[in-house]
Parts: sequence; structure tokens; C-alpha cells
Amino acid sequence: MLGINVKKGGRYRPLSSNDIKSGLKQASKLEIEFAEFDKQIDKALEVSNKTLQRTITI
Amino acid sequence: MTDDECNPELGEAFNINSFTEENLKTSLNNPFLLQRKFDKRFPEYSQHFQYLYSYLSDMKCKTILQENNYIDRDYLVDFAHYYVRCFTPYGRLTKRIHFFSKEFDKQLFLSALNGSKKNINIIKKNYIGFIVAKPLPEAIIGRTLLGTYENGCVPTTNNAKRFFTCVYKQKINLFGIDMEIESLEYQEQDAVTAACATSALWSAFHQTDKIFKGTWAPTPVEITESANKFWQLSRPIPSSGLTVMQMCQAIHEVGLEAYVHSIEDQKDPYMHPLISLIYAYLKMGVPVILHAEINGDDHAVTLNGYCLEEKQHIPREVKRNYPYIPLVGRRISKFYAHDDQIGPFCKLEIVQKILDPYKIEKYLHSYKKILTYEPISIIVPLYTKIRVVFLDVFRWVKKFHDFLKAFNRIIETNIEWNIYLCELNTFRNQVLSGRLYKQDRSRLLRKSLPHYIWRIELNTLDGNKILEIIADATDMKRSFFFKDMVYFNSQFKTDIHNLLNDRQVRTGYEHVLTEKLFNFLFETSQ
Repeated sequence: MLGINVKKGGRYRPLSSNDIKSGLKQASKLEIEFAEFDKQIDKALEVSNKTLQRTITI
Repeated sequence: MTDDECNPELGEAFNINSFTEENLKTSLNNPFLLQRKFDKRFPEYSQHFQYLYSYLSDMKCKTILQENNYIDRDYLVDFAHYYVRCFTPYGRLTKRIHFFSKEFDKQLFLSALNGSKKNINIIKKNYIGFIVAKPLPEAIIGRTLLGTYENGCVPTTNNAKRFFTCVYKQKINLFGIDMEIESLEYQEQDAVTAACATSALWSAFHQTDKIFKGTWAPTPVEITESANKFWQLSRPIPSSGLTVMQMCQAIHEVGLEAYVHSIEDQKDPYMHPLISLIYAYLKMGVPVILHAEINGDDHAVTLNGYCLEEKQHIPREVKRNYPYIPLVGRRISKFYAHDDQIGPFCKLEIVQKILDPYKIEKYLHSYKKILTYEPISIIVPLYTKIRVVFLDVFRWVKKFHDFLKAFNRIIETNIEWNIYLCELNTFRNQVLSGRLYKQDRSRLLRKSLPHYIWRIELNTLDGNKILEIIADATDMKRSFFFKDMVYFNSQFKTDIHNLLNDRQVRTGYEHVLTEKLFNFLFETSQ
């Protein structure tokens, strides 16, 4: 299980108070990033007339 | 000559020859054919022949059986719509050319037709597929069903695994002998009843006809006509091409809806994980039409499979300045496509670059040059009820990922998200038989879920599953469509629960993740 947080030697490293502190510090940064990301996804779901009217010829 | 060998009205019913370049040419030939179709000096015309010869050689083809006077439905409908009214007397009958990976002669085949079980088995076991040869001047490659490299046991490099997901078991009857092959229909565009967009749709519809109930697979001329029902840019037949909008109309006409993802409308083509987006649909067997620009012209191909490497093939799918999470797309090294300019199941390679994260390329042996496919849009023919698309799901997964990362619960370099569309029955079958689902099996099997779901797996790169989220693919993007979640590591689950149960974490993150996601994560971790 090397993808989840493990100590050297392969034992799972349980949640510590430092982890919580580190996570809480990032909340406001993530809030801004998520708002920007939501806008990008909404934009990506749109399709312009330019694309729809392109002719596939070959 | 006996009655077995000869039809008094139509000449010989079949011919058998060993597989050589010359014999393949002879089988495909017809009185109207322009000979440049086989001439290596004209790669733009002989591309199909050279690709097919090389493909069949890789499949270890040994014998060609030419079934004469074959009536092919797709060609017959095209013939009735166009060729019959030409001054030149093009024929309505075709040749169906069958390929086998074992050498045999006429005697053996006749003995099979006389009931020899041993010889019938030889014919069945070594079947590679067929090509319908149309009696036309140029576009002679008609309906083609050839086995994949997986069937042909052609090895891969680096333990990579090929997945031809858009193929299905085809039954072929050759003079009473029932044979089976896993493949997907391919044919070359004739630029009369079908341009490349029509050919791409035609192949895709043969697959959607099998996976989505209540839809059908029209012939090329029927697709061209339905695409031109409302918008005609020029005369529809002879067809010079279709717009994306016309392709969407043709998809609508067969009872499906088109999901179009435009790449050219984005600020940067490497802003969203395109490879993982394509994979998410291919994994369920939904064909994806890649609309790309090649040397300034727009082209469409039907993607029908992918090659998955054991290790990461490209470092990132998006450029560094755009939001990203590690997805399966990084391990995909090739897509397989029915490209009507080249042939069936041709390899489109994902090649890592310096300035861009990757390019989609095809090496053409006949030209000795590389074609670069610059994606313009992706067109996915979907069942009408599948409304939630990959990017809707990706939006929520990204938030969960960043939350886990912020609290040091995952090591980003060692995990991978696997997001894909799935039929409920497939999921239930896996839950029923999968050892990992033991704890949640009964609950998951009894749970009421929609027919189409998104599965979101978080896996470690060494192949262990950490968790899986089930989302409703039939809901709407403004809703919260996550329906269930399974943890495969109890300690990890406990930690997530403790984290979400922390008052400070709730205060800090409830509005960041949204109340719906926060509560979903909390409830499913109990």
C-alpha cells in the first residue's frame, strides 16, 4: 500500500495532529483553487459553433 | 469439376490460394480497379492494401479463401442509392475474402463441406476474418471484420496489455460452417455515399447497436442522408464530408445522443486530461470518435481500444500550470483506431514531447513519415440516459483528491485514480465474485442503483485498491451524483472518519468541499 501514507518499512502512518494542522492551513488556498477550477470545468463543457461547424473532409 | 465446386450460373463459388502479396492483389482486384491501388509508388492510393497486407502477415495468415458472388447488405444499399444509376455497369455482387492462419487446400475444404468434423474444426480454429471486396474503381475495401492482435497472439513490449474494448463476437457463416470472431466492422470511405466522418460513425454504430438497447446500425448511405436531413452545405451525395453538427444529427437519428468535448475551444489543448477522458468511455466499450486535424485537414477516426503499460508512460496529461490529479491516462501508450484512410485497429501512439506533455502520432510505413493527429473534438455516441460526463465527475474527484493530499493521507506520486463508465450489471457481477468486496457485498448488491454508473477507484501504483466511489451517470451535473463508497483498507477508513469528525476540520472544509461532498464522505466512512 505504498500510495497511502506509510512509514519507512511499509507500516501505515495513522493521522497525527500535525497532519490536521497542515490540512487546515490549506483550506483557504484550496477554496480559491476550487472556485477557479469550477469555472474552468464549466467552460470546458461548452462547445462553440466554430467547432460544431467544422467540416470533416478526409 | 463437380457440382460442389461450381455454380453453373455464377462460375466457381470459391477459390483457395496461399497468402502472398500477389494472391491478395488478385483477390481484391476487379475490372474497374485503378492499379495504383496496389502500387507502392503511390502510397496515398495504396495505403490500405499495404496496411492490410502487413496486418494479415502479423496475424500469421497462411491461406486466402475467396467467396465469389457474395451479397453484402451495406454495399447493396449503397449500390441501390448510387452506383446502379451510373453509366458504367458496376456490379452488385462482391467477393468476400476469408483469411486463415493455417495452410490448407481445396481438397481439405471440400472434405469439410462434405461433413469432415476434423477439417471443419481446422477451418474454424484458424479463422482470422474477412474483407468484402467491392467492384469499384478505387474504394474496394468494403465491410471488413478482422481479428485483433490479441486474438492473433501478437506480443506486446514491456508487459503492456492491449484492450480492444469495442469489439464483439461476430458470427460468420461460410458455406454452412459457423465461425466466430471478435471484431468491429471497418470499411474504407468511397467519397460517394460516405466520407470519412460517415465511415467513422458507421463503425461506431455497429458497436453501439450491441451495447445500447433500442438503437441500430444504418448503412453508410443512410448515415449520410440522416446527417444531411436539416443542414446541407453542398449536395449530400456524392459526399464531400460532414460537419460535427451533422455527425451529432446522425447520432441522434439512431436513438443516441452525442457528447461533444471541444479541445479547440479550450485556452490550451493540454488543459484537461484528454487521454483519461477517452479511456473513461472506451473502458465500457463505448466507441469514441476522435476528430483531429492532420496537416491542416479535418479527419475522424473511431477509437476502439487502448494499450495500458505497467508503468507510467507520460509524466502528465496536462501542462504544469493546470489542475491535475494522477489518472490512468498516464499509463496509456496507444489508442487503437479504425482509420478509414489506413485500416482497422491501427495504432495511434501517445508520444512524450518536450514542449507539450504528449502528441498523438501514427507512423506510416508506406510513406516512411509520421502523421500527427491534433485533436479538435471528441464525439461520443451515448445512450440518452447517460447525462453525467467525465468532466462532471472529474470536478468532484479533484476536490476529494486535494482534501486527502492536504491532510497527508495519500502520496501523490504513488497513487492513481481510475474513472470509468460502467453498466450496473457488470459492476454487480464483479461485486458478487470479487474477494475485495466481501465486507460490503450484500449491501452493494441490494442497493438500488441506476443502469449506468461512474466508477471512481483510488488505487496504489503497486496494484492495491484503496477505495471506490459509485456515482449515478444518469443524474445531472448540477446535482450531487455520488451514491456510495467502499473502502478496502480499514485503517485508512478510520482515519478519514476521524478526520471528518474533527470539529475544526468540519468548520474549515465543509464549505470548501461543499456540504454535500463533506457529508457524503462522512457518512460513507462510518
